[in-house]
Amino acid sequence: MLGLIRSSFAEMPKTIIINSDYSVKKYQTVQDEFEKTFSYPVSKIDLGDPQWGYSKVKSYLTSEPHGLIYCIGTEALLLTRKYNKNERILFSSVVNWLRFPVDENSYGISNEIHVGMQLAMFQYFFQKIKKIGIAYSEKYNAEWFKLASIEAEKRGIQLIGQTITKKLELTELLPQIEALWIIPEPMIISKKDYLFEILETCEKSNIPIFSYLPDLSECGAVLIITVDDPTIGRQSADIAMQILEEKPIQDKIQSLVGSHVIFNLKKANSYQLKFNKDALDAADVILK
Amino acid sequence: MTILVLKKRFILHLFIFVNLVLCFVNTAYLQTEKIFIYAYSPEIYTEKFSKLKIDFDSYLSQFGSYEFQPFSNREIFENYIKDKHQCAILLSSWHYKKIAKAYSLVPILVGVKNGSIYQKSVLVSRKQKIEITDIFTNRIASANSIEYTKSLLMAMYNLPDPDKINRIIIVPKEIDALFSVGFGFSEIAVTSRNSLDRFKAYEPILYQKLAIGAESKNILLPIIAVPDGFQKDSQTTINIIKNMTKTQAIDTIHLLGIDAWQPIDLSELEN
Repeated sequence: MLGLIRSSFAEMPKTIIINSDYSVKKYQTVQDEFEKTFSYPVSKIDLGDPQWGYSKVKSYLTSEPHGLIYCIGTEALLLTRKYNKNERILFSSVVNWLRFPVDENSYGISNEIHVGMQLAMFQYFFQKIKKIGIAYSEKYNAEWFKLASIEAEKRGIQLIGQTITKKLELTELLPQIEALWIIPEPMIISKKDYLFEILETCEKSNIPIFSYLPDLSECGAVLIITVDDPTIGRQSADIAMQILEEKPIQDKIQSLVGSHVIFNLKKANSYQLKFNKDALDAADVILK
Repeated sequence: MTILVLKKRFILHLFIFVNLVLCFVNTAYLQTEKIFIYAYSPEIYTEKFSKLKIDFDSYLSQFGSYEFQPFSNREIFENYIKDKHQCAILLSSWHYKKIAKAYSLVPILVGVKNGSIYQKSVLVSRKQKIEITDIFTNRIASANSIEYTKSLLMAMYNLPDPDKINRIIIVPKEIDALFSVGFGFSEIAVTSRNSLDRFKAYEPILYQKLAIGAESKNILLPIIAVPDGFQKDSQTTINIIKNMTKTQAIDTIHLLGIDAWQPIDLSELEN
């Protein structure tokens, strides 16, 4: 039996793991967990390692057929699709994957926690919060805002949007809301000044902040719901094995099944927020 | 009295004194030898270990030379505790039953959750019935270790071979497993009955989409055991662990998925 498995392994083209930079902890965790779970042979490329120059990567990606190319991070995805347009790829840890072309040979895991799941978590911690504000740009997040509003409505939550144009303006928004949700909005995230202005203004107005950015928990955000990196690796391995075994895959781009939740208890208490104590079990980190 | 006799007496007294000092140092050393609490449980998500260690050690440091040492790998854990005599061991009841005899362990405390020392595990799906083929082909989200999840599934479905179950994905928390089925990211969730009941209370709409496909027998919550030879001297250590609930360290207990510890009745292990 073992001999049969080994011979079928030998016949199967190798899966390549191409990591944007293995020395970055989150990418390293994803790859390590993937390798622990994945039961087929792999070869590895680390773009963070100087020995992997672009020409070497190109020749490696184009030299022979591969079972699958697993790309960890944006750089790995871009480079793979630049040099190898035809083979099956699986990607993860790519911020806002919608920016990139996805064809019939592309599979992936979204790096954003499903909107419905985030709203469910918000509600699990704070049942009384019914009006949540979001600052977003028409260019990047108009469609997302519409979909999120529909999801929120199902839960009896109203999302109140404030579009960002040239200047960030929160004075109209803040009096209408009970919490502010910072989403992956390039107009905000790419400008530290905007981010700090939001944090400062909300602090002054006693408005709790929900976000997906772990670093914001140290800057006063109350609830952070972000991706769990080990789960990304495990789920990627599950999808990869389904692909290699030619099993049906319902969703080519999947939502992540595991979240990482940080609850800033100190901040919640300082705002005198009423929260569900049972929900503390759902927090991976509680800041006191 | 000659000088020679005096010298002999001096040497004798010096010998006795040195021996007394050595004896005292030895006793003092024994008293301050660090006592470890070793932990391995398939019900604890390994990413929580660093937090558990920090919180446990911070609590234990008030009482002297104690340290908490969690393990993420069962084999390493078992090898490590093999020759340890002066320690407490935190492990799942399932694991305890497997190694207690070989390691001469005596159970002292058992975890309590919502007033009960037992819990049940359930399989949850969006389908009314979970067939055996579903266990082999569908994605199963679980917050327990793969080994433990397989053992639960094998017991629930009377399966002889764990190798056919190969689509288990470990998630950080039971609520992740339930959400993943509720939103359709996984087909099956393995979770405790307690977590499902809580989900029903806070997520009634998603809960309505779920059905229980199978339920386990009663499972004892985690156990604190000590090596047979340490039982008589373990009272202080056990009291320190038991009294965690009376302090701010109660949050640390919650990380273990329990509310408190209570003395175990040996007959409970026979069930």
